[in-house]
Amino acid sequence: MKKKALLISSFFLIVVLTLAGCSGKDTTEEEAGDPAKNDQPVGQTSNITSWDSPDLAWKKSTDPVAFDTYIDFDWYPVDTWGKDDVSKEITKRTGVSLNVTKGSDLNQLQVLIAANELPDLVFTSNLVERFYDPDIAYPLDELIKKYAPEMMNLLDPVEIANNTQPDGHFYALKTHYNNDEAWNDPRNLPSPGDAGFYIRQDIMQEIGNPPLESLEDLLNVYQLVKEKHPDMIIYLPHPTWTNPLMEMMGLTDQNPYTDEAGKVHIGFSNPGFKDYFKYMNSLYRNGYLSAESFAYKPEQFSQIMKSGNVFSASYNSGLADEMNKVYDDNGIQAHLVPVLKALTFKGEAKLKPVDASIGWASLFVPKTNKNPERAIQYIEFLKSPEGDALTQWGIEGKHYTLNEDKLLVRPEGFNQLKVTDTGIGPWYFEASGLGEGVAVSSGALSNPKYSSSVDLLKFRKALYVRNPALAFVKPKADTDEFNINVKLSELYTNAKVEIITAASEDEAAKRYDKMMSDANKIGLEQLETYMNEAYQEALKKYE
Amino acid sequence: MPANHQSEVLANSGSAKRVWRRLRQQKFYQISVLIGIAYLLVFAYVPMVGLIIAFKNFKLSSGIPGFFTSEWVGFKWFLEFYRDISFWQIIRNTVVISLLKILFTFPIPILFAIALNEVRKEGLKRFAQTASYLPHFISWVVVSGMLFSFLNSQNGVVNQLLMAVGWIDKPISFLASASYFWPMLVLSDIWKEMGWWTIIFLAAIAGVDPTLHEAAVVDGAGRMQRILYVTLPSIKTTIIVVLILALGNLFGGGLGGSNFEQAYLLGNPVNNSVSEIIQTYTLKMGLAQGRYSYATAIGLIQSVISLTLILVSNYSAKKASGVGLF
Repeated sequence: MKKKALLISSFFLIVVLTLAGCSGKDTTEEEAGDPAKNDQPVGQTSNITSWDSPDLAWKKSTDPVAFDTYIDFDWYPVDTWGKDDVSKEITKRTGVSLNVTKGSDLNQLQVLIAANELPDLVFTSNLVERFYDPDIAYPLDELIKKYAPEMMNLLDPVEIANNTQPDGHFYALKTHYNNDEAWNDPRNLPSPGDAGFYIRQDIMQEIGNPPLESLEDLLNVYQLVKEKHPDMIIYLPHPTWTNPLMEMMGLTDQNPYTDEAGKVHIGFSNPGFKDYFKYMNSLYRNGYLSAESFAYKPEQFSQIMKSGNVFSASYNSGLADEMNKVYDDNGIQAHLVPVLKALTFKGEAKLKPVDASIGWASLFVPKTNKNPERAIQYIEFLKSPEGDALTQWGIEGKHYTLNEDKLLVRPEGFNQLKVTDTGIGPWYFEASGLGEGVAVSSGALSNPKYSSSVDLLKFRKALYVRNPALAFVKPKADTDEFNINVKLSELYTNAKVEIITAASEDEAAKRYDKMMSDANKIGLEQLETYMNEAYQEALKKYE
Repeated sequence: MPANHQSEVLANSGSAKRVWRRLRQQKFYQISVLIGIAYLLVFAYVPMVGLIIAFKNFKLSSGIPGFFTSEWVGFKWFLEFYRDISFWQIIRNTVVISLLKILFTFPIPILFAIALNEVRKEGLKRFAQTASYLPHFISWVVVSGMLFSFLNSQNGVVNQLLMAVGWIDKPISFLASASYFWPMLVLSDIWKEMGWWTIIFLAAIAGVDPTLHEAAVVDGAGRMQRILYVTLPSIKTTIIVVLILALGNLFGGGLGGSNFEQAYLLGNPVNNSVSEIIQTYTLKMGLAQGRYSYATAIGLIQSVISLTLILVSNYSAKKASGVGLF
C-alpha cells in the first residue's frame, strides 16, 4: 500500500516538476530574448513634428520582416497576406509582411494567452482588458520612446489619454478614433456599424403612404401591411444588433449611459425599458414580430431578408444598399429605405446616439513578439496619413483620386472589384475614423444607386452626443465587477426575449420586474458604484 | 541465511526470470499496451493536475506556472456557481435532457438491431442498416442547419407539410419554442446515432449460438418467444456494458455524447430557459470570459457526478446480474 502511495505521489511530483521546469525555461528564454527589456531604462525624444518627415523610424528600416498575426474576427473578409494590392503595397513600402491566422472562435485567443503562445501581433476588440498587462503585451508608449520617439510628437494627446490605462501606459491605439476636429469634418460620418431602421418603400406606396412620424404611427402602418400582406414578415430585427426602435426611445442596452444627474448606469437599468418592452411585446402579440427572429443566426437573418418577403427590418447602416442590390440583381420587386426621422414616442423625439468616441479595435504587440522594434515602426506607418490612406482608400491613382472636396473618386469598374483583390479596408489596424468616414461618404459618388447608408449616417451624425469618459467605466478583467458585468449581460440577453415574447402585457411586466430583481441579486449596485467611480476618474482626464 | 528463506529467494528469482522471459516473448503486445498507457497518462491523467485551479484564483496572464503560484481560494468558485441565479435551471436542464436521452436513445438501437436481425431479405437488411448509420457521420453543425431548414416557420418543409394536410392553421415555431426543444433534441439524436449503436448490438446478436435458436424452435417457441428468451438474454452482457458506459457519459449525452453540440447549436435566447446546460454555461461564463478557475470548478462538479453515476451503475449492474465493467 505504502509502495503504491509512493509511486502515485512520485508520478505527480514528476509531472509538477516537469511543468514547472518547462515554464521556468520559458521565462528565462523570454527574458533573454526580450529586446525591449534588456537595456532599460529607455526613452528618447525627437524634434520631428511632421508625418511627412523623411526621418520617421518606419522609413529607415524597411528590410523584410514577417509577423505572425492573429485577427480575432471570424467574419473578417481576408486571411491571406500578399495576394491583394494593398498588402503587396504595404510590404513594398515597409518590408513588413504578415502570416495571418483568422480566429474562428472567440475562445481561441483566451487559450493562446493562457498557453503563452500569442503571435507577434493581435488585432481584437474582444476582452481587450486582458492585454492591458505588461506581462502580456508591450506598452506602446515604451516601444515608441525607444524605437520611434517622434511618434509621441505626432499622436493626438487626447487619443493617448483615451487609451491610457490606470497603470499610466497605453497598450494599443484603438482604431477609428475621431478627435473633435475630425468628427466635425463635413466628410466624416459615424461608423457604418450604426443601427438603422428600414421599411419597404414600394409597400408604403401601395398602402397609400400613411404618416410615419412616431412609433405609434408605426403600429398603424404595420396593421395596414398585415391586412394587405398577411404572409409577409412585418418586422425582422437582426438577432444580435442594437435595436434602433430602442434608440428612438432614447435607450441603449449593453452600453452604459448617464442620467440627468450625471450618474452612470448600465444600459438596461434605464426605467425607460419598461415602455420599450411593452411596445416590443405589443409587436409580438399582434403578430408583427416573431419569437423565431431572436433565434436566427446572422446568416439566417440575411437569407430571409434576401427572400424579399420582409416589410421592415433593422440592422447596420448598410442593410438597404446590400438588399436592394440583391433584389435588383434577382428581379425581386422590392425596395428598402432607411427611416431618416427620429420617430417620436409619446410625443417626444428621443433619438440621441451616444458615442464613447474613443474607437473600436486594438492592435496589440504581445510580449512574444520577436521584433518589437519593427512592430512599433509598422504601427507608426499604419498610423501615418500615408498608411491610413493606403489601408482605407487604396493606392492613389489606381484605386482613387481625390476631388476638390477631398472625396474619393473611384475608377470605372471599381464597384465590381472584390476586397480580396484590392485589400482596401481589412489591413487598417490603426485606421482613423475620418479615413473611414471619407471612404463611406465617397460611396455616394462612386455608387449613387446604393448609397442610402450615407444618408442614414449623415442623419444620425447630426444627433450624436460624444462622451469619451464613458469608455472607461468597463471593469478590469478578473475583478468581481467584471464578472458581474458578464452575468448581467447574459441575463439581459435571455430575459429580453422572454419579456418581448410574453403572452400578455401583464406577464411581460412581471418578467421585466423579475429581470431587474435578478440584476440586483447579481450585483447591479456594486457594478454601478464601480462604474461611477471610474467615470469620475475618467472625467478628470478630459478637464 | 535460513534454508527456507534461501529457497524462497531462489524461487522468486526464478519466477522473475520467467516473467521477464514471457514479457520478451510478448514484446510487441506489451509495447502496444505501453503506448496505450502512455497515451492515457499524457492526455487523461497529466491534465488532471490542472484541476487544482478549481480551488485557486488562476489568472490567464500567469500562464502554466500560475497553476501552482496563484492563491488558494477554497470552494469559492463552487459556491459562486451554486449561488448563481440560473444554477437550478442549468442543473435541471442538464439532468432532464440527459435522462430523456438515455431513456429514449438507449433502447431504440437494441430494438432496431433485433428487428434488423429478423429481416429475412438480405438486401433490405443491408440497405436499412447502411441508411440508418450514415447520419452518424454528419456533424452536428450540419444537422443543426438541416433542422433549421426543415423546421423554421417561414419556409420549413415540416410546417408546410403540416399546413398542407390541415393539421395546423399557422406555422409552429419549433426553433423558438421552449416546449419543442427537448423533443427536438431527443428525436434528432435518435435519428443521428441509432444506426451506429445498432452495429454493436447486431454484432452481439450475430454471436448468439444458433443451436440455442434451433433448440427453441424444436421446443415450439415462436419468433417473439425466441427474441425474449434466447436473443435478449444472450446479449444481456453487451446491453449492460453499453448501458454502464452510457450512464458514465450521462451528462455528456449518453450514447451519442451530443448534449453540448445540440444545446450549443440549437440553443438560442428564446429557448434558453430549457437549453442552457452545464457545458454551455461553462463555455459562456467560464472559458469565453477567460475565467478558467470558474470553468474548471463547474467542470469538476460534472465530472464528480458522472464518476459517481458510473460507480453506482456498475455496482447495481453487478448486484442485479453479476455483470459489470470492473
